[in-house]
Amino acid sequence: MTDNFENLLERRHENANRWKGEGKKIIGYICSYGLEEIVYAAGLQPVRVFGPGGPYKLSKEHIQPYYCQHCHGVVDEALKGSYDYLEGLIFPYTCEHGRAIYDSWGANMEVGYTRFIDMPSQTDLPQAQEFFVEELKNFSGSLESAFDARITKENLMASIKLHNRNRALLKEIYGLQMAEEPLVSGAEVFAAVMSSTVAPKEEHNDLLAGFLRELGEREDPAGAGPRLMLLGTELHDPEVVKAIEEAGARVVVDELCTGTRLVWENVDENGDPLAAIARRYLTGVNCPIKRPAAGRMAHLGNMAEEFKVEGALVLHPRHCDPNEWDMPFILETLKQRDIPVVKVELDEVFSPDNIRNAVDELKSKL
Amino acid sequence: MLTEPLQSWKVCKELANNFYEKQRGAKSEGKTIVWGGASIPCDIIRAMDIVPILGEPYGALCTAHQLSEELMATTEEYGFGRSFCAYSRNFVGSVLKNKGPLGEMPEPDFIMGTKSGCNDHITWFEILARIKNKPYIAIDAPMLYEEPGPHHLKYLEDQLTEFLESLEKMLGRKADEEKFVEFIKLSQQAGELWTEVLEFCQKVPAPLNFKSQLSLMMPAVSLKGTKEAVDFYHMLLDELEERVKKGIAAVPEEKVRLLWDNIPMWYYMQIFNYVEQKGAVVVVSPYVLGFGGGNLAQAGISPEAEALVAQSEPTSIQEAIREVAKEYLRSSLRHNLPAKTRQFSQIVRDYSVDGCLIHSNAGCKNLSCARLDLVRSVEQDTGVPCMVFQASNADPRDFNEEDTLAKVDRFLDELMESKAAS
Repeated sequence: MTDNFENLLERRHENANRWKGEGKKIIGYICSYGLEEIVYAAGLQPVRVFGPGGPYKLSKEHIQPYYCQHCHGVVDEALKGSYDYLEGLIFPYTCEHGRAIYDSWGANMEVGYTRFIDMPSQTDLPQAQEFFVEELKNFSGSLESAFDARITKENLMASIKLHNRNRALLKEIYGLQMAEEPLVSGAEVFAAVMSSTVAPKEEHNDLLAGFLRELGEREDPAGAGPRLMLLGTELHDPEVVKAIEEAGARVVVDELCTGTRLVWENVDENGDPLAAIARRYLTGVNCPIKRPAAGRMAHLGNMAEEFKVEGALVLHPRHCDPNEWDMPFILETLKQRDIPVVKVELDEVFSPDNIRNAVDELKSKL
Repeated sequence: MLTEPLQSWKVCKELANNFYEKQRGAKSEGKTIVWGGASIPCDIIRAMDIVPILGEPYGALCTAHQLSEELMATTEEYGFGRSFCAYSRNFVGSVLKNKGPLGEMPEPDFIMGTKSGCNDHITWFEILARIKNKPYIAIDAPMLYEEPGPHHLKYLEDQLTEFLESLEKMLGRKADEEKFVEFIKLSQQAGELWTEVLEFCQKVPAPLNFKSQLSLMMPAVSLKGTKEAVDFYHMLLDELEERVKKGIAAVPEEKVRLLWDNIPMWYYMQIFNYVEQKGAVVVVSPYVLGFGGGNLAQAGISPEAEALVAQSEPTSIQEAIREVAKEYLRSSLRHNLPAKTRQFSQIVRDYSVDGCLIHSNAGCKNLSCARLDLVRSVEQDTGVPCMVFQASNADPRDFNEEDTLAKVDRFLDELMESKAAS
């Protein structure tokens, strides 16, 4: 069953080109702030953009070396023409790396539609919700006029329910990892989550339901070794998680922009749908660029306890400055729970040796 | 070419000394102190008789005093990385080590973060508020890649109104309306006058070089909302008028005129003397222009949006707050790449620039965003060549002196040759 998820990831461009051939219009988004619910409600197919792994050559003509590998990966992949099927790119503002992708896209790609959505960075301000709702209204309006679409409350609510179902199923799979001997591996969970960003949610929900049935029939533990939590931001390559588990550890939970941050909080299905979407994106589980960090620290500590985490591996994408700011406080949060932490830097070319060494180091601290 | 020292220089130095003296004496005078980034609303803060200590000028000072490596080692020992804002890594190191160019930093009563085009401004000070266990206030300004609308203005106006209310509560006194409005007017005037000062550098030869501009912008950045800043710029403008009349240039030889992009390397200011010895002078930088009134024509927005953010004279506290909010929006209009490209190209034309030195600044990802694409467009638009080199505003470890100077040499040689041939 996990082959299905990995296939979706491997064949994401092939699939998207097929949808395009079938008349589907596809919109890209840059990170975990995808606003997929609104894009889908406009009758468009949202997909997350990311690179396949380096080395990157084309991007270096456009993006300086001190911007992160995600930034280089996306721009490189787009310059190769892999994303020519996209009708547009949206960017709810997060960090300067995302901004560099968005700016470079506007300067170099022939993309009809681009939209910068002014997302507050200080998410707990009383004024942030009202402001963000206005931004979302304007964004919805711009999608409607650019694609001759109509976003009604009804189709927005239907889209919310579809996306909530996807998140709930993924969260249910995560929940299985709380068991003493999980029957599902971290690599399987990661592939399931990541593939949700490049697949129509109806199809993905069916796959997830099937996967859960299959997991119900499993009897053997998926792996062995200490229970790890992965920390970081953007991680796209399932091989990284596989390498960690092959080195003799079990990945039971994560705090990644391509992991729990995507699925942990649902959109409220009561009340005004745009207000509910705004609330979910502002006050759900945030990436470190969104402030304040206090809620995230508490959440991280709670997850570590719920999942009975024994060690944490920071997968730090090189030059990802948002991930650096909170590091002393993350270490403090985990230290309070006697959880050792090892940091490994991820460069544009994935090194299984680095991962193996980091896991060995972590195991020696347990 | 005739050149002589600037008379106003001494006054500017005195203003800077007084500024730091006031910071040092603030505690013993019973004043309230705030730490924050240079984009905190200093006019409102000063109108409430609060003394601001600003992160970027302080970071620059640490770097100019060659303290960066020591301070940043402390920041890194604490567990922080070295990819984020280089100013903040100096500032945080100074706080953690309790060491800095001005001795011990005065303890803040509260700490403030303002996102005005820069996320690091709110993270930086939230982190410090946590380390120092002090109250924290944040203001979030929109990035404004799209057209500004009433909701952008309202967002900021509401936050600033609440900010003033929280200051009134904290201080136990109401804002004096007359005084408050006056501070905002003075802040507006200083911004306009600073732009006028820089516009004098459109003259050939330029009466000021970039290195002087960096020092002379201190009142526009650090003394926002004060009469001293306005009086100083009036005096400077008179002197510049006189200099231009007499043909007094910034440097003895101005063979080629350069634009400098981004913050300078504060630890290596000799780069400007180096280019001047070769007959080249940096006459303008979008960085210093950014602290002035700005030019809305390059923003590419509709007349309605332009009217929404246009400056006007306030007569009440609420109007004054709206003016501060509008200023935040105006300064954000230069963020997106098309607007930035139009701005650069216009500066190249207005200041008769022959070549651009583009500092790709690993210490400031905000100001360096999309620079490689920008450079291509500016070269195409104006026909003026650009040289990109990588360093950092405040981390000397990111600077390679030998490579950079070799690159500068080649660039200037080509520039001089092509100018001589034309």
